[in-house]
Amino acid sequence: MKINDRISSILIHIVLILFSLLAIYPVFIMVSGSLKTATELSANASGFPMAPTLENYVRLFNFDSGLIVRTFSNSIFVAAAYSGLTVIIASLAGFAFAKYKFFGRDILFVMLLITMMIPAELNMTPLYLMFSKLHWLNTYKVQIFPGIANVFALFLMRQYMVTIPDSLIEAARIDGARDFKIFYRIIMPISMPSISALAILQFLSKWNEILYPKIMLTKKEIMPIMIILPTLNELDSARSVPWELVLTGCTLVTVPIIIVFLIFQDKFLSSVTLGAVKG
Amino acid sequence: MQIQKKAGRTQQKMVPYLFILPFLISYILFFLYPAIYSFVLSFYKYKGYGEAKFIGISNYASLFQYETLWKCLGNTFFYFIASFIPTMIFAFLLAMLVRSKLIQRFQSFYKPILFLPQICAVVASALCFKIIFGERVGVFSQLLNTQIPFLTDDRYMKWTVVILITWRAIGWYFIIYLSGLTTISDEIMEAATIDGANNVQSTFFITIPLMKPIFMLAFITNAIGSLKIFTEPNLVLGINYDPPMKAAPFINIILNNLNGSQFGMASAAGWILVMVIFILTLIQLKFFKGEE
Repeated sequence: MKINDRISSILIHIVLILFSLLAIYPVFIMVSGSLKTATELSANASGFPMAPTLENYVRLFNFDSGLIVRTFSNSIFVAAAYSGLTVIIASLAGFAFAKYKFFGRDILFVMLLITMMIPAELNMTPLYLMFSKLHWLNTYKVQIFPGIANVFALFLMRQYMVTIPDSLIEAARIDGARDFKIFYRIIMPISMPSISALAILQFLSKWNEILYPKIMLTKKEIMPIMIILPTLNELDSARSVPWELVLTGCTLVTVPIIIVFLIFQDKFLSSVTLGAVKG
Repeated sequence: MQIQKKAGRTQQKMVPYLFILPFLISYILFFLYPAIYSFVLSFYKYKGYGEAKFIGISNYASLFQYETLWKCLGNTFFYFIASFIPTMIFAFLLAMLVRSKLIQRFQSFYKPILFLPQICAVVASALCFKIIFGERVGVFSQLLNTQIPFLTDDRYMKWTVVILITWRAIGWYFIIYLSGLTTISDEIMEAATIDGANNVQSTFFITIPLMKPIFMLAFITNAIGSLKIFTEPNLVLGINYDPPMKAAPFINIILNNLNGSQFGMASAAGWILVMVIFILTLIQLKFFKGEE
């Protein structure tokens, strides 16, 4: 029995290590490729860099007079603002749906949930027309505001806040706290695990978005970095495609997120199961 | 005093509405109104300027007669089904293995590594896969010392996208299944073992039935997400988001019409996507309900 356990645990490790290598290898290619010269990459794309160099990073940061730094900051700013706003308005509304009785509450909630099935892609056309009439194209607001009313986020916040005992709210009320004070002094701190996980989820979804900014933006300096990265390999197309530069850009958008992920692992992983466990 | 109290009560009644107001306003402005607008627009011919012309269901009719629509819908379904099966099997297998008592100490080691592909930006991983499967500089071409046209040959090109989707998705569903498995109490499993069930039996007769709600959620969210696929095929197989029609996803129909200022047509294509998602979700719900 003991020996059997030994053998099966070794087998399990083999399978898991195999899958782990598969998960890591493309990231490895990305990072090691960013440290190679063009000549080395064309001969050795799969292994460690023989003579690691940071030259690609210098080239990338100087590219198009600092466009990469600019668009990287755009991405961070837009994703953070979007994520923050989404979470705040979803928590406010979630609190009302969880802890107040008001006319039309249940019917409104059900109606909102039904529209959750409608994909955001449907609204690209009308939003484009709307924003071109409002002269909102090529702005930050067009990147931040649409989508902040996220029904999924509202649903999660409500589900979480329902579990907060009423007695806590009553006690605060007797102490003379007004509704908004109760919200940000009691409800928000208690809901923090949910709020932070949700914020991560929203941040990453905006960070990864390309379809929507592609439609709404034409000015390079306002774009998120994700739109610029694929164009890096076209600009030098007179010569051969500068794949080492593309890989450097990919590393730039990946490694910082991986580092944050490794620090706040539990928060990231709990953002995955937000919908699954409670819903 | 009386009046003041009444005023206070009315004020109190307004409180929940004030809390939902920011959400509701942004919802109406950026979701509900555009959705209704796009529905109306789908029955019009509109080029973005001048008068919109009512043309009934012509947009839908011509889209359905348009061969490209069926081709792109077919491609999207191919990407969905071909990645769905390996993703779900591997994710569940990995969750079972990581959950195994024999290697419990290493759970916190494997979990973040297997989740890692999800943390990579979609754009970055798509570009990276383009290099892995590239014909001349590609990793495979170099390792095998030949040039295999993974990205241009009809036989392989769509599979490279499937591999990318699967690579990214496994980590996500692995975490979902793992958290589902931890809700199954050890007592149930122990009771099964005492009753003489082996590992395979207890997996098929206890674990999988208990996980049904989790499977349902995972399958439905995966289907909805897959039908909206855009980034992966466009970046791996195309330059400047124009992959060959034989590999383009459905969203490209909306995008192309939008770029060509065919706003009525683009709206109609959007509503076709909504209908497809709706039908697919109903089928899946029926499948899970029918099992009971």
